[in-house]
Amino acid sequence: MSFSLSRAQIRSEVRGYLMNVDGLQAGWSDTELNAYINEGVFYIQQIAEYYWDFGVAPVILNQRDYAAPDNQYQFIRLTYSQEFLPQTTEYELDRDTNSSWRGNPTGTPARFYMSQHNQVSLYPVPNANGPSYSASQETGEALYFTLADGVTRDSTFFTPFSQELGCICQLTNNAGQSIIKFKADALNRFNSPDYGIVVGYQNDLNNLGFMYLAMPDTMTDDAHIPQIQETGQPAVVYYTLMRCFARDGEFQDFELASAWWQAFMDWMESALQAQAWEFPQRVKSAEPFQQGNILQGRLQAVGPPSQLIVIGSG
Amino acid sequence: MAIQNYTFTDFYTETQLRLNDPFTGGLWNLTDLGLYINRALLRVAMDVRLTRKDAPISVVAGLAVYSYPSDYMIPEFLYCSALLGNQRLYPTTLGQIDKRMQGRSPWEEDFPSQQSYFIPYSYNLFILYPAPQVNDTINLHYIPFPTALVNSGDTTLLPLSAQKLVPVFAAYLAQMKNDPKKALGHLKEYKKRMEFVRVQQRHNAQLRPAIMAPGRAFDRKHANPEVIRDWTRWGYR
Repeated sequence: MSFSLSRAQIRSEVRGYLMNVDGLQAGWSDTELNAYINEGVFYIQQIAEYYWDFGVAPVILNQRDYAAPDNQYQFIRLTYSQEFLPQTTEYELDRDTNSSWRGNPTGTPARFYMSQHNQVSLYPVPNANGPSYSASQETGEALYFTLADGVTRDSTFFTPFSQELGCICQLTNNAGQSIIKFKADALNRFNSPDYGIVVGYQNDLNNLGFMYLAMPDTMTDDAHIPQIQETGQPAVVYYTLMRCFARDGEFQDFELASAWWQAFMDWMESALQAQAWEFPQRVKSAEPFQQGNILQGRLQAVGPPSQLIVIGSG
Repeated sequence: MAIQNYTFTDFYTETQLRLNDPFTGGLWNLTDLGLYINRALLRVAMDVRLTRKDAPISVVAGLAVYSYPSDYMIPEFLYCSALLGNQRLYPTTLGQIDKRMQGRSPWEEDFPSQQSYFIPYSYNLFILYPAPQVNDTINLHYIPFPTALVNSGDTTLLPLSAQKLVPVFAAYLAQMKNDPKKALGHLKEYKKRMEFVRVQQRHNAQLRPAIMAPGRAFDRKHANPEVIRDWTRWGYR
């Protein structure tokens, strides 16, 4: 038995606390509770930053702007062709380069800047296409890759495929080097690299690679599990209860909402301490190793959740 | 005589006693109480971090990203076999690797070798750098999640001092359904007593004192000579 909670389990626990389990006379509909649950998961992710993801964007000749991955919340690190790409700003480029830097010269990207909250731009503008692959979708498994035209088989990757096993664990290129950028399974179903199938394949060699804090998927099914560590999942229950009692209507109760907010804070403080636990590497100073209240700093950064102002403790 | 070891039933009994609830279930049904007891078990394990576990992880030549074991809560360190250089690797960060060679190290490129960095990534993955050059097994030393209690005779690996905290927190969670003000009393008691159990954990983990005093005021009994002697191995110059 694991400590992970599905959406149905979270909702069931919430209803138990609400003492409102009759679906026909519910003070809070399932739709409303599900919305609070998803909101709570995102709020916890903002505070605790549990879920990170990888992404790759194929680089295209003479194209400056590239969309960030859909679930990108904050970038941690960008690479071009597996090398760290430092961030700059348009102001710095205006100041330090010639006036036509936006399109000329082209070359190997050496910096990026955020031209939009969900878009990165490269300087210099790339002067070559990066590799882009497509796979056979019919069987649900990759049998071969095609070149960018989508038709011609890419013979570079023909040999390493082991057809008998039905799945691909590893790819190597012509130099015998491993290409290892398989997307992690969002539901964490595979705890061994031996299992899994290729769903989408992108190579960050000569392309843009993203490492970023991600936005958890919106749970649309009762079997879905929040993409945060199990240490933080119980806090979703307490967040949802806070929202239920804070909402205007027959069952509004600020005292209970406040009590559940305190329960949420108490749980998250413990979860953040567990997350921050580190083994010592060297003596850095005479300061205590264990950090103080991590939660307060994070809350100041993220801000109070919706309706907390109403309760008066935000 | 033997040292007491709480079973699931014992946790039920003590929690119900605290709540003044009949053993057959009264204000709180038994299913809900079981849920609160297991939630309390999780909370105690998160707070006191007393149990440790080692688990083997299969590594594949050239593969850098791996999943943690399903019951992992907090990673402490990795240790590798002789084939991979008997390395003991502590968690580090992406920024730490980026700082190599004045920030010009192309560490992400594919140079399989003996591992020198262990980088937790997301809540369920970690990166090994360099990626292993051979297929092998490495071991993760970590703080696991406790095993959830299901049957009435099930017990937990937590020591008795930590077990005693479980009914207190379970009573807090249960009382939140009925009377949040009364519940706060249980929470206060839990927080007070939990600190004393943490002392036991700090006592056991002499490698990690809460305060490290500099210079000669340093108490040798808190020292980890290996860390002091070999700290360059973890990437510091």
